[in-house]
Amino acid sequence: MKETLILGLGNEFLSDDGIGSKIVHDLENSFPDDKIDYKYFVTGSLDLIDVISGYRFLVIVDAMRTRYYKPGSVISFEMKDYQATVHLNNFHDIPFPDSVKLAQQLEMDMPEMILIAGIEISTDLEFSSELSPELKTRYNSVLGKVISIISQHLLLPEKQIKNITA
Amino acid sequence: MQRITIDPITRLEGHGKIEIFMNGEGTVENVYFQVPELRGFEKFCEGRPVEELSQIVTKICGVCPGCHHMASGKAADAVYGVEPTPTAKKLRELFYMAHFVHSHIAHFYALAAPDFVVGPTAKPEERNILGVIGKVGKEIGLEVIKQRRIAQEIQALLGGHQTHVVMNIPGGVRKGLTSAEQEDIAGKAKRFVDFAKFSLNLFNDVVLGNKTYVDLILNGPYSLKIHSMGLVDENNHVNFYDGKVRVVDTEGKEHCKYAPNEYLDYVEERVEPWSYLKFPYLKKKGWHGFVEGQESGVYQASPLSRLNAADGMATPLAQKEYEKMYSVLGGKPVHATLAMHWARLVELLYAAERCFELSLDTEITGKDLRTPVGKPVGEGVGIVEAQRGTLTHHYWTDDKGIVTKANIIVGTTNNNAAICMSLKKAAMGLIKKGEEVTNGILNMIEMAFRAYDPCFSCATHHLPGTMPLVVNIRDKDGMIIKTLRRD
Repeated sequence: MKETLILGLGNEFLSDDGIGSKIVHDLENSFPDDKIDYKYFVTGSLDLIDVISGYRFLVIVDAMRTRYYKPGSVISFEMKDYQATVHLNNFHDIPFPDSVKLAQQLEMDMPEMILIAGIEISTDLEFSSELSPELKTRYNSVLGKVISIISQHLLLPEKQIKNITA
Repeated sequence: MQRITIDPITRLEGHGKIEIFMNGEGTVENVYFQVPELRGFEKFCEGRPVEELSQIVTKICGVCPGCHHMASGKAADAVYGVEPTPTAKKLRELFYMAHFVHSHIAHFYALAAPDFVVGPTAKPEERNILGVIGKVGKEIGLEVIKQRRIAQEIQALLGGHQTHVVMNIPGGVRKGLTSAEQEDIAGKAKRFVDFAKFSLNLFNDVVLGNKTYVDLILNGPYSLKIHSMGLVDENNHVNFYDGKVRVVDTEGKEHCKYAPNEYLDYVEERVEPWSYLKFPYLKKKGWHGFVEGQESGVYQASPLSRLNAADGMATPLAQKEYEKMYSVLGGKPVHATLAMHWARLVELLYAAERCFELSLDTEITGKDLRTPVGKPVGEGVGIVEAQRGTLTHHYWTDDKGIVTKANIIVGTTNNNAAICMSLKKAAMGLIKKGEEVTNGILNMIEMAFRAYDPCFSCATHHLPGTMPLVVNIRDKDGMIIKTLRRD
């Protein structure tokens, strides 16, 4: 079984929608590690089963649009406490939790632990390769929060953490 | 007046809802389906080289990126005034058939089958793909996953990536196919055909073998007598990648047939004050409101309309199934919305057969991958059939090929009026005066919507996957007197 997958979801051309992918790009550049794979996907769906199959630990970074939290807030939860994120619910396909349940029902090799980091966003209705002003100003803080969440489960080098969040 | 709101967005604010207005007598007066629109696509495209757009548009939507890639690539060919080489065309079509196989399998097993295999009024927690697998068995579930994965692998091989496709360049494709790869795809495509046949047999046993379901399809509140649109080849057979757009009227007679660059002569878009999403209609019929019939300008662009608009299928097994479908449903054209599921499976078989045919074509391993391009002619239109309707990309450029304007009509937008009308008919037929509006009834209203396989990721924006519903029944002053909720 492979070790860890960090998966960024979202569309980088749709403003804050792509925050998950952007964060994971930065993580990949800062924490290259043979035991960690970094991947990117636009939607969460049945297709994710194949992407995540075979990893022991999965971290998903995705946008959230709840309006319960301030833009830039990062909410982390495990599958048992699942909250809807923008791309893990897929109207056209099946939602991510059902995909995982289906894979388990079919006795496929699913991660032992799935951790989701949801980032509250401001706008995702306008095509732009730029983040909204709210998220742009808080980007380093968001990145730091995601790293902090991942660090509780993975040993990430202190030096790189300091460099990236400085 | 009472208002019932079917709001699929309980957690994600403002992304879409279905509102059902009840009259003073306790029956349905009107239904509105509303979704917000993504903004700024034209501006986003402006100033970019046209050859880059086919890669950018795959990120409009994660659901049918291959469709946008193809329509965009064809529009870029037209901007440069070139036809791709025969090998390039076949490689594009091969990719596209795998894309259809992948998508149609998902719709049938994940979105349609729960209503029929588990039952339209079954509990929501059982009426899903898990319930389907529980009924039909693990082996079939594994096969669904496997066939979809193989279709994705073929797309990734030909397109460079399964989602972020980089296949097309003006005049052709970036990469060819080796003989070994061709042989591998042929073996996989053969199994697509077997799986499509199996899926049609399953539909035959589960749906057609159940009189209640057949009655629901033919006699339930799901019919809509409107025009049918679809892309056809030179023999008027269904074609997903290339050809002319044909529209037949409610009696099945040809209303028009046009080349992609003529679309503005035949289709016009209308804005309604209550909806962000436009309502395309047939220009020569004119807009007469949300009405059915021969004189209405409302049309449908869907698997069923594609079959209605064509004279047949271009592959033998799909043709046989096409004939069977129309024979069982009483001849062409069919206006039963739920028959779309059957039509989609006929299309699955066609896509599988065509994939197999192309994989055996000796020309597909040719080395002539691109027609050289010269100066751009300044404007181009590309049309393909997306899984959920006719997809049009139209670009204008300057003399250096830099985009100055873009217009896109996506599959689901074509069906906007039809979806609204289907929802209203379903609601009127299912919500009875004095009877409780149950979750089962709400699901049966949703079935009218789901049959279109709508996708708003590019037409508007994403909706959440679980389709949580909140129904607010309001009094004549608009106050909520009862709420039904289904998460």
